[in-house]
Amino acid sequence: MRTMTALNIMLATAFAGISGNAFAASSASADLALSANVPNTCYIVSLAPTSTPSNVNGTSSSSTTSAAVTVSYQNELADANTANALQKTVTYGLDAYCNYASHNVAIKSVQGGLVTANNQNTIGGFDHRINYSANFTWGSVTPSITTTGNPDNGNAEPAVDNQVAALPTNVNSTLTITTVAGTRPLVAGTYGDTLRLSLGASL
Amino acid sequence: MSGTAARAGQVDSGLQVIVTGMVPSVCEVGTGASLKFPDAKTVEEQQVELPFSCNAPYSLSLVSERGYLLTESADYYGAFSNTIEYELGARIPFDNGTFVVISSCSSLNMPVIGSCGITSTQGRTSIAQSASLTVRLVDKREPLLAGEYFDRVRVTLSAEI
Repeated sequence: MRTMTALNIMLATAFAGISGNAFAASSASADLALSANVPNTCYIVSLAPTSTPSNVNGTSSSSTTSAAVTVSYQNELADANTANALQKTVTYGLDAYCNYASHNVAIKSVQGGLVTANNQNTIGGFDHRINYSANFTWGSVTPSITTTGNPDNGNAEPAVDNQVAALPTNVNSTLTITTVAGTRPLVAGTYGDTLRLSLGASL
Repeated sequence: MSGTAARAGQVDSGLQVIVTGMVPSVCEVGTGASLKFPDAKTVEEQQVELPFSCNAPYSLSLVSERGYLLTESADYYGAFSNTIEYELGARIPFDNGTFVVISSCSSLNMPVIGSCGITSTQGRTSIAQSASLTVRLVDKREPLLAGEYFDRVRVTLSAEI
């Protein structure tokens, strides 16, 4: 309103100043400054298995900010005869992006390997853990872990790798999980782990 | 102005004074305005009022400096966009109670003078009025780079002679 008040005064002044002269048509300009902020964003478009061994099921679900992968090895992770852990590789494709420089990319094995809740005492040598490696290619960085937990126990020994991607990244990336073949029989039971992948935040 | 009519037999000694003047055509506009989109991902439309006045019929021109909002981020990389297109609308009121609506000007066309605006108000004036300007961001298919984006729209009012 103050602006308009000032404007009226300006016009009145102009009118008072007339004295029969010829006037050119008036022209006036003002600028409308436009600005917008685009915040730092990491966004998961999709996550899906691209390669799994036979009889191994890979499923996934994702939202815009998080994703979950379930790899169900059934009975395929232990040799049917020896009960030794087998090497198996599954691959997931992740379509995602982070739109800002210097964003964190991290991968973490919460249990430090596939472990079993079966902690019964045993006689002789059995493994209670299946170690594995997980590699994530994300543009110019490749965060990866290899669990090295003691196969003799199932206690959590997290493995984590935090890296920083220097540039905004928008790629179809790959997550590869490979289990390590064992040299001793595994104790019977169900084995599992949570593997976390983070874009934009460290773990 | 003229003198009174002469009576019969009276010498007509009236005085006729003719006063003429010209009121200049004047357009004025406020000091400008700004529109900020704090989060271009969630807020897509904003409106601002721009005070102006034209005591004569006029034309109105809206010209974009760039044709889109642009970020100067030096980190451009890969499949991202560093521009945001927008559509500009305007509601221009007149003194006779009518108004004209500029429904939607694409920012991509707006660097061209004459592509967005009113060529003539067709005799109508707008004294001490306020124009409503609406900016709507256009969705992009590619993700946008993070950062601050800018453009400038010049609003020009030109009185018709």
